[in-house]
Amino acid sequence: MIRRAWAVARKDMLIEYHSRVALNQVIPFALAVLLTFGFALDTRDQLLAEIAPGLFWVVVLFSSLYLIARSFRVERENAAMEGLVLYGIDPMAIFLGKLAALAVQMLVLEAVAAAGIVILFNPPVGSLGLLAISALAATLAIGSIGLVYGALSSSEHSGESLLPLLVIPVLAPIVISAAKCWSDAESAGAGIYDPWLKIVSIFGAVFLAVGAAGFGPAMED
Amino acid sequence: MPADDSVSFSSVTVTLAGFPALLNLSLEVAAGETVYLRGPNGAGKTTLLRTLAGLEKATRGSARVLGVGLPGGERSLRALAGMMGTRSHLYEDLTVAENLDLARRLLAVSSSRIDDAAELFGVRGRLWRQKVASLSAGQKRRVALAGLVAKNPRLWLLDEPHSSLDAAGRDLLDKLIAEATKRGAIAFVATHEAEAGRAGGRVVEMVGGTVRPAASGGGGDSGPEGLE
Amino acid sequence: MTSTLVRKAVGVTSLVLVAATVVMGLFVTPPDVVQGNLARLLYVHPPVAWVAYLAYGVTSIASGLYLWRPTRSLKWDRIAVASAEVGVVFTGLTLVTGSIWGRPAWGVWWTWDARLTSTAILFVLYLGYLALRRIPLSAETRAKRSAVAALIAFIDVPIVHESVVWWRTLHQGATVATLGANTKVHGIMAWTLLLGFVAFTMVYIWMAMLRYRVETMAAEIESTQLEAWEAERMAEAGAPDAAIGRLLESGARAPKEVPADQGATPK
Repeated sequence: MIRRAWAVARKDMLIEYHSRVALNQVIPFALAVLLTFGFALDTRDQLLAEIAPGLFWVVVLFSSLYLIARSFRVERENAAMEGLVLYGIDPMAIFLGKLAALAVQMLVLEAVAAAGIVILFNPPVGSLGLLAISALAATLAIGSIGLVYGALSSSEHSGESLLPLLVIPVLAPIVISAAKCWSDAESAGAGIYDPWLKIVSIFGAVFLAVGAAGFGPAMED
Repeated sequence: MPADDSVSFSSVTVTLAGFPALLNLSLEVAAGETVYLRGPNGAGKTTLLRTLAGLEKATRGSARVLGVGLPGGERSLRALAGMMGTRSHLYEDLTVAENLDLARRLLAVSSSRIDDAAELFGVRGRLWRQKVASLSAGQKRRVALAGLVAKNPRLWLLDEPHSSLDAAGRDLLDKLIAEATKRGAIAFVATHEAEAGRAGGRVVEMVGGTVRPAASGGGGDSGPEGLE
Repeated sequence: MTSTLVRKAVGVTSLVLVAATVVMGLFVTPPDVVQGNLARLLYVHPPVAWVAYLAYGVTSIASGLYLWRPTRSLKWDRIAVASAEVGVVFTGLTLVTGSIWGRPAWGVWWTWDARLTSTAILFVLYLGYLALRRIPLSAETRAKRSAVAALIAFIDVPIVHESVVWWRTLHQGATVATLGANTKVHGIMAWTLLLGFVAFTMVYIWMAMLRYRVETMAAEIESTQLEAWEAERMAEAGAPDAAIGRLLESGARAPKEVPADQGATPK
């Protein structure tokens, strides 16, 4: 199963390598949103630094929705997902493979968006470790839930515009806890023993498990 | 008692979004047979193929396909069946080589086998490093067929296989099916072509989601007469 | 037949109980010492919120029963959707009555209190569930996908609630004291509150039964169609010649040609 999951992940990464949708479209979109926040909020430095943690996760969540939708769009062309299913492979392998590829793209997106926020809004950064680990947990959660709802809402005709409505409320706890991790990471004394890191990690594990359990039934009709 | 290499449908109904695409369909097919499915648009040919592939679930009735019980055994059936539908199942953004490499990894077969299959359908040379998006419909079909022959399924499910293939491709495919069925595989071919079944094989006329009573049980004797 | 009777009995009972709640809540009970007449919302708001949670609970159980193979039946799917729809209505009512209460009591329509926030998320969560159900799919596929979504929502609700509570409490104390804390509920008021709970629960049962009936009827229509299709599709279509004649006789025509020099030069 790991071998097949790897084949699926490799396939999705190759598609990104050829099409550069994440790199040339989604990441620039995230940066454009950050700039928009800057002028919409009238470049009040203090305010921007204060809201940076929440802003970061809102931007990451919305941009990730494009990546998730993209992850399913490539499967819809030529009914490719059906082709995968016809190899008789375990849906879990498809889930893990797609999650891995999605997570890699999301982590790159997050790194760029975080750099953008630090440069543009200038919030203090106390603990990189706390930022990184919380981002990893939140990424797995967003990816897992995104994939399940992507599968649930996938159909020939509609679904892509439904995905945000389905995913955003479910992930509210992740946005809250991950943003709190960033807030805490701003203080100099912060570290990986932060209580919010514990919370976001537990949520991440729960959503990963929910995703793994739900993807198969969601995909197989 | 049906053997493990045959197909047996008894009163199968498959409902798609409330619409009975297959309706009380019963059918027996023995190992080595080639079945040509003919009938007007919406007769249920494609749905029958998809049900045989384990892609649609019987809502009523039951079936036994290559020893796998339906409904219930869809996933194991998918591994045995090889389906070429109207959609190519290829990733547009990947090259021919990458698409077939994915097939190699998922089927766990050797790369020389993939090379052979690609060579057979003439997609090994100039096309090999091209993105599928830049291929013509016929070329995509050849790539899909290469993947199918690499899988070497026990159940070949072909939906309008001749469409967009050139004459050489058609001959190649027909030869392939003939050889596969000679080795005990079963082939289902949905087609509009009048000459289907002339070369042997059995013609099953479908209408309204089931086998047309008058023509059922014909054994290669149904000529081209009486077609639209 | 009997089910129709039961439905009617439940309907009449719930209407009578709601009427009784109105009379008790507006005329019989005294105004609250602290909150005055505002406290009368007490007889509506908590019962409505309770029904919302009850409805989602029923949806979750029905969805679980659908997913569990031994009990798989489209009946559970119909119960799930019937209950969820009523639940969304009652969640909306919870938010509205909460706001009506909040404005005079707290001076704002909305505050980021833990309970309010999680109720709002719950509302959107189940709006999504209902939207998901509108994707055109076969009944079985829709039932399965919706059941998965309902169970994810079920797991998500306590997580949302806990995270919102921590979110509000780890930084600042509970924002606004809830009304229950400074209202003494006793005597006739307690009985009216209890009546409210019973009345709105009956309303829920009634609405869910009606909604379930609609779903069942839709499924019945579908299955009678199944038989109609069989007959209809066995009959071949008539001769197309007449239609071809009609279609080729007339049709869309290019607009009348305007001579180039006339069209181009302004008069």
